[in-house]
Amino acid sequence: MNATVHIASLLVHARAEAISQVERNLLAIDGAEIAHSDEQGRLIVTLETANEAEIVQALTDIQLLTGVVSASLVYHQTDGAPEAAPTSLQGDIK
Amino acid sequence: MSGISRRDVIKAQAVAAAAAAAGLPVPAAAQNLVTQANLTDLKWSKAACRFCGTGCSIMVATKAGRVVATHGDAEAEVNRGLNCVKGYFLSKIMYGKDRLTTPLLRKKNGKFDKDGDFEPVSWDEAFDIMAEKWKATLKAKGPKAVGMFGSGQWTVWEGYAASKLMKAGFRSNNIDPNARHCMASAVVGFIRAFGIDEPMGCYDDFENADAFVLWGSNMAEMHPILWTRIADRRLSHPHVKVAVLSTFEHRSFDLADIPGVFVPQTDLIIANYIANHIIQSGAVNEDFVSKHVNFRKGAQDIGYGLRPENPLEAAAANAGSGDSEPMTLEDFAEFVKPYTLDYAAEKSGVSKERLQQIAELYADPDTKVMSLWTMGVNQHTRGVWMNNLIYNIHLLTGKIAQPGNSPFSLTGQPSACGTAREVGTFAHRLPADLLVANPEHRATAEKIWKLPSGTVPEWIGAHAVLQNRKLKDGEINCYWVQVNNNMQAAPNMMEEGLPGYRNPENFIVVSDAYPTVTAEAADLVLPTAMWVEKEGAYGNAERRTQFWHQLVDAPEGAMSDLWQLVEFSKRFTTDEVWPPELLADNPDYRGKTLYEVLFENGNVNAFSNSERAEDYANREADEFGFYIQKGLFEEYAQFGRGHGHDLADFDTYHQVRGLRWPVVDGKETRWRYNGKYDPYVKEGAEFDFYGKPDGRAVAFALPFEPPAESPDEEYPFWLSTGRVLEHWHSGSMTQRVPELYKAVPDALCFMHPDDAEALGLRRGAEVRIKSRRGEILTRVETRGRNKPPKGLIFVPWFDARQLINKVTLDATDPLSKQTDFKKCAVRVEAV
Repeated sequence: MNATVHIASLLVHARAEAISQVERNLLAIDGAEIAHSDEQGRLIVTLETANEAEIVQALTDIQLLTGVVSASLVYHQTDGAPEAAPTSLQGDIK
Repeated sequence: MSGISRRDVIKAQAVAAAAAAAGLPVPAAAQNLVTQANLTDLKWSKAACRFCGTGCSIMVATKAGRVVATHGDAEAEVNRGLNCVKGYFLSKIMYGKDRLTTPLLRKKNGKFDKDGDFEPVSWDEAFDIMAEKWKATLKAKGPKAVGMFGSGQWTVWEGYAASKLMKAGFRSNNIDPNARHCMASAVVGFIRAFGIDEPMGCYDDFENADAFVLWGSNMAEMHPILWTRIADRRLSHPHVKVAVLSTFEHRSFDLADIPGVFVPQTDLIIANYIANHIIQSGAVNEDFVSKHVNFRKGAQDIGYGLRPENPLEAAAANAGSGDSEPMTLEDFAEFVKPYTLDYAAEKSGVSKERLQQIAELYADPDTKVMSLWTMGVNQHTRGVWMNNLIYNIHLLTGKIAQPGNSPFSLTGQPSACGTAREVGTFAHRLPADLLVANPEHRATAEKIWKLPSGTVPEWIGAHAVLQNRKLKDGEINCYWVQVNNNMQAAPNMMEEGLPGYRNPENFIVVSDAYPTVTAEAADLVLPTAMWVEKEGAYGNAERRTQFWHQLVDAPEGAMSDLWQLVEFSKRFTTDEVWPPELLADNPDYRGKTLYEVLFENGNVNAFSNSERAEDYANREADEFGFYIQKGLFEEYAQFGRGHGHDLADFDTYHQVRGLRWPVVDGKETRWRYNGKYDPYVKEGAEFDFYGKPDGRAVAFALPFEPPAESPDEEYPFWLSTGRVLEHWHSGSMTQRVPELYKAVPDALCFMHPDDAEALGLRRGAEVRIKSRRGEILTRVETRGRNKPPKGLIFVPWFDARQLINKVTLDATDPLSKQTDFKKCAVRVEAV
């Protein structure tokens, strides 16, 4: 069995005038690919990561990029490992 | 499928879903792959999201009795397949390691003891001690000594059953929802201006507006999916303008064409300036105003909802007064005249140029404007007034109840509207906007409930903040908290909340899925089933009612709030809790249990289990032997049908992605009060504000008044509290999702770098935030998503280890009784 891979897609809205800069910065994020972008500033981005925490991190990073107005998750699927039970709480959280 | 990996297929599906969500054509390569993909053996069902008031529909995948995946529902009009990060991790909130699965009672030497430690007990023992305490209290002190605190996260039927048990069963109106902290000012604003609660418009306004004005709201983080709709509108239609007003800069400013950071409380001045600008520039829609608007002058100097002996309260000339008297448009114009551009700019700190730009958006008859607000306006000692002042602007210009012209009050909880407000779980309300103080309304409730006349008491119960005060003062002694974490959420914890819960005279019960701060302060903790572990219904901010089925079983031992409420009612007979006079006049009700008179009344038990969907479990229906959710819903719906609050029949909601009430002849209503869309508007009228007897909405003349507490030499900073994207409210669910916890583990004190430097603080330094009431330790953040101006700090309240409500003030709006969590005075000290 391969290592688990998490594949997610995001809809990103960016200011049209900043789109090329946003695209460059997006591609610098590990595992991110741009599936679609248009002159109105809409981008579809896919993420391929080793775990869900990396998706959250990438989402946060993308939202904080200059020129990005919003980023929403649309789809997520896990591939490669057995169906994992949802992770449980870390012991130190009250 | 040679040459194409399984991963390519998944990626293509992901892209196709995103394209569908954005309304974009699916890239051709993805289309081909999607049709070939059949990768899942999961069972998918719809459910409404558990978090904010947006009301996203979520597709939930179950396998072997567990929720294993969720994604945005592409068929849902609200979110069109999109998900925010909280919604994305929704499935994980049920699987925290410390999920409660047994009742816990404080005990010493095998017996209940308020000073004892929590020990596991059976449900029977839990209900035994509860019933014993309730009966003793009811006997000794009557219905005013028992109370309940519920939530805008109750499902519709849970809130309805709770309200019925309290108001008709125990005959106590001391029931209030945590929506009091969240939406109460909006409610009073609606009732004062329109006579009916909840927005006239809907989310379709997003695609019809030419301008958006955010009053104190940070939608980018708090309502991210709706913000996506605004962003899409703004970016794809270059003429569209977005104005963002707030007391500090936040993520929503990224999209702002007209940003404005104002001094706390001066929103009252800005709104009055805009009204003045509209009048002075001749932009009043005189035809609309003459046909549809009345003007009234509101009482002034109304106090701050503090304890009566508080000097501020004692000094108020008209403490708590919502009185008003009629006035003319000319009088109104005189009233707002002092709110000039110069004055507004000087007081608010927002430049004249920007204030004028915002005023012009409203004044221009060709610009359709949507105003949006949540806690910034509602959690405000003049929150009702602020709601009214925003309506004034829309009424003066006639920009209301039409696609894109929409004053829109957003909500913070998934069923603040559907349950807390519509079901009537407030201390003064009954279902469908009826009031306990109105004898005709009580009679309507008693008739529908098949209960004797005089069962529902006429006195207005204690609201949220007053409940805590009454607990501290020993006036409420038995208290049940469901689906909320009020110890963490309520203001002034050290002086009011905690002393009330730990008062030796009181017995406190908390139903929750997790050991929250509130549960830790209780005497008895009941483990609760959550979200899709039960059949449910929520109502979102645009009047949309949404249903879901039970999709998984709760952990063994945990039971839903509905089961808890209804099962508990079996422990009481009418003879034990109703007065002899009531029973003497109505002997048929003698010797019956509350369960029999409230829930086996021919309505609630009218539908058999054979009417249930075959492929979904339903624990409560199995336990009680009838389709209890349907019975409760259909009984409840009787209140609103034919009275402007019509709901569709129960079964419909399991099929559709929600419907916006009133639902008349199977059709939902998108714009109320507008003759083109609303069947309740009288024949031939263009607009009809039918919540008011004369069909006219009311604009109120209301001034600026100062906040309850402002910074001074000793406490030189404003403190505003609020939320962050990753965590919802007190964090009792989202802090248990490891990914969300890791993303934002701790609350921080966001402050201006110059303020930090002046105090000798570096980013990350530990600080003490101190008010006249309490203090917490936290760390300084001078960068990142929130950028306060000098003199203001922002601290989120999700972190149970840094309880900012030890510091906040329990000043409320005197009319709505909603706390102002956005303004008090603090000092910041290096540790």
